[in-house]
Amino acid sequence: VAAQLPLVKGTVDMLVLKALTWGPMHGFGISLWLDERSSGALGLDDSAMYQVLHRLEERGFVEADWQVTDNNRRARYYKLTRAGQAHLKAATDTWLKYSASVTAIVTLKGRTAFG
Amino acid sequence: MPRGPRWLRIPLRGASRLEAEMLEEMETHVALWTDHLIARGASRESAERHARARFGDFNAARSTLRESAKRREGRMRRREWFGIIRQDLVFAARQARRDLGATAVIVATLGLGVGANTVMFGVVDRLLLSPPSNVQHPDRVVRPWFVRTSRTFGVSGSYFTNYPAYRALAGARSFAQVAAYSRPTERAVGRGSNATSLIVSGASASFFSVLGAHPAIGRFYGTAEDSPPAGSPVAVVSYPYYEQHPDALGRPLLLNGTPFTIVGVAPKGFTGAEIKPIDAWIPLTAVLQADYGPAFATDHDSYNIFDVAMLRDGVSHEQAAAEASALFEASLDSLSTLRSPAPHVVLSSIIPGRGSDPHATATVAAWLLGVAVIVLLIACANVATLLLIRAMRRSNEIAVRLSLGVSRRRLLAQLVAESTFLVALATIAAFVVSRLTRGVIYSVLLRGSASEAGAESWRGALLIVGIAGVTIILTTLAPALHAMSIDLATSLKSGGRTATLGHSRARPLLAVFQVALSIVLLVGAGLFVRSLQNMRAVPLGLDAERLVLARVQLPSGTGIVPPSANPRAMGGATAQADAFWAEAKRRVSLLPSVANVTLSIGIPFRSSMAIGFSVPGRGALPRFKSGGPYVNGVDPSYFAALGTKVLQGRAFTSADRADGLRVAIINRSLARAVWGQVSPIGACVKIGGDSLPCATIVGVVDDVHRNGILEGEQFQYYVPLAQWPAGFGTPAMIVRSRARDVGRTVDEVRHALQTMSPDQPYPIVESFANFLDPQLASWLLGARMFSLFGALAFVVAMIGFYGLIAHSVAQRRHELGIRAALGAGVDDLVALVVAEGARIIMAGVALGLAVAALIATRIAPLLFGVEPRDLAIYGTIALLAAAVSLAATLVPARRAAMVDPLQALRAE
Repeated sequence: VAAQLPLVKGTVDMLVLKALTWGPMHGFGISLWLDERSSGALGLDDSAMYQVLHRLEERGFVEADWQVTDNNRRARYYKLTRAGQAHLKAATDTWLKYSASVTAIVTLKGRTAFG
Repeated sequence: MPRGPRWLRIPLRGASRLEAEMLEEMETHVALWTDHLIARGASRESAERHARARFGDFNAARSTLRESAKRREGRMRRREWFGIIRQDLVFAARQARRDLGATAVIVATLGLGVGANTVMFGVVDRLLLSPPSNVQHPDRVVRPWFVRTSRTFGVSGSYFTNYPAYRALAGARSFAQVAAYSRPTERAVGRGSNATSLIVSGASASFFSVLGAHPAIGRFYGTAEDSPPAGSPVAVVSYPYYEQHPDALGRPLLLNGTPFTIVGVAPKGFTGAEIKPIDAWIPLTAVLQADYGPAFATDHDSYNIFDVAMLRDGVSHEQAAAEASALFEASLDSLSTLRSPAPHVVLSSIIPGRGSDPHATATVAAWLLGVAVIVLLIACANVATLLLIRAMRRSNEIAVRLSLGVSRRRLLAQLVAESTFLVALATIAAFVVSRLTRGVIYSVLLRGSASEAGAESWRGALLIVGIAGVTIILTTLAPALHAMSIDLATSLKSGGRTATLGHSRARPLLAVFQVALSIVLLVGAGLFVRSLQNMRAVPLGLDAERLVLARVQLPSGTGIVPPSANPRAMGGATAQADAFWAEAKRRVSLLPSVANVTLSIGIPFRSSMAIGFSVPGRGALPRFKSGGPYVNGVDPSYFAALGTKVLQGRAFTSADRADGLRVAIINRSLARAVWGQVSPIGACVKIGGDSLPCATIVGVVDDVHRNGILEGEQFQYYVPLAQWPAGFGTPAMIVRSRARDVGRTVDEVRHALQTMSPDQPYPIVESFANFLDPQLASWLLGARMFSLFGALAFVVAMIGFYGLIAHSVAQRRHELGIRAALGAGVDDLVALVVAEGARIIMAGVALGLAVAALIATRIAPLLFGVEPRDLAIYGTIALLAAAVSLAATLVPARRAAMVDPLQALRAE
């Protein structure tokens, strides 16, 4: 298992919403999805992810319902709402711009004072 | 997943349920991870450990998650509520748009009904319920009403009093303060071409403090400036005057040749103790001195001012009235006043509706408020009918939704939302209606009174909201009850058609109710219109509609006093004035619109004076019930100009000169009362004293009304203006217009008089109709407003009736189709529909006429010359209603006749 990366604030919302663009999922599905795509590098407790899910539900970005899983377990499924989609798009745009700027700056070649 | 409000699908959760669900979710999560890891080859033990480890601290997470879950639930529930309301309103708006015609009718009907009510309430509020603006303690400010019996005028009650009596009353211990004011009159301001006129009232210095007003700018005048003999030349102007003349303060106001310095501005809306607007107040003593001469301070015989007083704290109205009565009786001149019945004082409220004088306009306004309420009732009935029809049309849809499990409570909420939406639109419409019509209605009903103050009253706004609220309940009730009572099985089976039949009884009843109410209003309109016609037809002894009165206040330097003056206030030389009037008459007689000009001392409906005379050999004249005999000095063209018939003998001629034979003309009533069947021509009368020489009666003329359109016999006689004693009053000019419309004559006469000399005082020129209109006001008001509201109510009722019949035809398409298929002709189908309408109309008209006959006796005192159950009026209204409603049934009836049996049946 690779070393876990500390999470930048606010990105978890984006990651969870992104996961749900693949269709309704329960909490386990989301955490598995994220785990697989990050090779476990995201330092996110599952309990913290549930808090994020509840907050997103509260803000109307996701909707939740009890359904039965493939192996006959009752689980709470989360689904992206239209507002959630819009939020995800906005958050992604912001993130991309932000990270591109940060990347551009930190990868600049250094110069000496007499350059 | 069926979408929709959660609380319909899952019962409300308690906290424990919430927690259990949360725990279940966590447990499932860990279990699923464990399963996942086992499937990837881990042992159960390590899989479980790993799953728990990546979950984090379960117990710590539990409490934070519980809190966030609770918060989430609370917020979501609130949002859902808003979502539902929003959704319902959007749904309501969509429904409203789908049925645009009905929505427009509903909004317009309610808007008219509620709007009319608001405006009428504003009128009644202003006329009856509110004290004049700026009165601080309306419960303690009173207007004394004096009841007395005078030898000349008989028993009378009035607000009129005089200066000595006012001063006596001011000494009463019951009052904290007493004030007096003179009747507001139009007075000339300025000179020459810049001259105008203002409504001016004399007011005592205490006037403003009794009413509790504070100056907007500057100051009010004090007692020292309002003391006999003539007070100080200071003036307080109204706020509107100040707004037109922002630099007014400190400037002089040239009144009757005297400059009055403007020292203050009255507060906004201030109209004194009454509600008619006034432009300026000047010290009472200044007005009395100018109009009645220095004797006013001790003159007990004139009645020329009004009192208004503030009760001392703790003094009851009865105590104050007793003290005022005693003072009043002591102040009376024993020569002119009889002691029986005992003179006394009634302390009237300053609120117009509770005053002592019979205020017919106020009574009519109260009735009109009732009328507005009826219009609202009709509007509500109409809207309820339309909503009911809509609910029935939708009963199939409602049944489907009920069968899909939508709760009745939910459905009711939706119907309420629909009504609320409609009423909200209607409220906006009502505001628009009241804004648009207020100006017109106020100018008709509150003519001359300051209306703006009452117009913006919060009571009006509150009323709109209140009425809207009640209307929501009323209009929702019917369709909601209908929705609640839908029987699923029947409704679904019949496709929403036959299910309505059992419930259709309410709609014809509503229609009958509407028709009946509008019939009541129309009958009221008929009665008032007839009363007005009768009033206008009363013979007055002169052609009032063609006459114009012109008065000029000649500068006081000439020693002339106005025509209303007390005869005791003698002036000096009048040669200048005579010359002025002779020239004025010459100029005016040349005007193109003028048919005739005359000069006279007394003015019918304006001023008159009484001087007794004796007939040698007959002793004293009998006492006349209406007082008098009244005398007038007139020039030779007087009777011709006024249109008064000369019944016997002749009119005056230019030969009846000052130095000629003394002559007199008497009126018909006086001739009959004194001479009976004998001709009075040639008889001798001694006017003003037995020692004076005879005046010979040369003619008898028709009676001319002295004050009122409705008044008893008047005993009048005339002497030539040339023989009139000098200084005994001043003449005014009466002009007869060629055309019935005197507007042009008024302008021409004013211009002619104003341009006579550059120093000319402003002439006050007005039509005789101006004096008569206030007397016609209550009938005019009743006729106009009952007609307006009656027509409105009738139109609304007919819209409702038409809607009902049209809907009925639509509902019966199937039945009509079968009838047509079975061989019913066009006439049969039309007759069927018309018969249905006729039943409703006949019931409505019969009910309406019966109710009108019951109520009309109550308005009998407001009518004139028409029985409250006048058959012609009732019959006309019934025929009118029948004709219009027949026309309203014909359109749907034609549609019924054109039903295609095939199509109607296939629609099943």
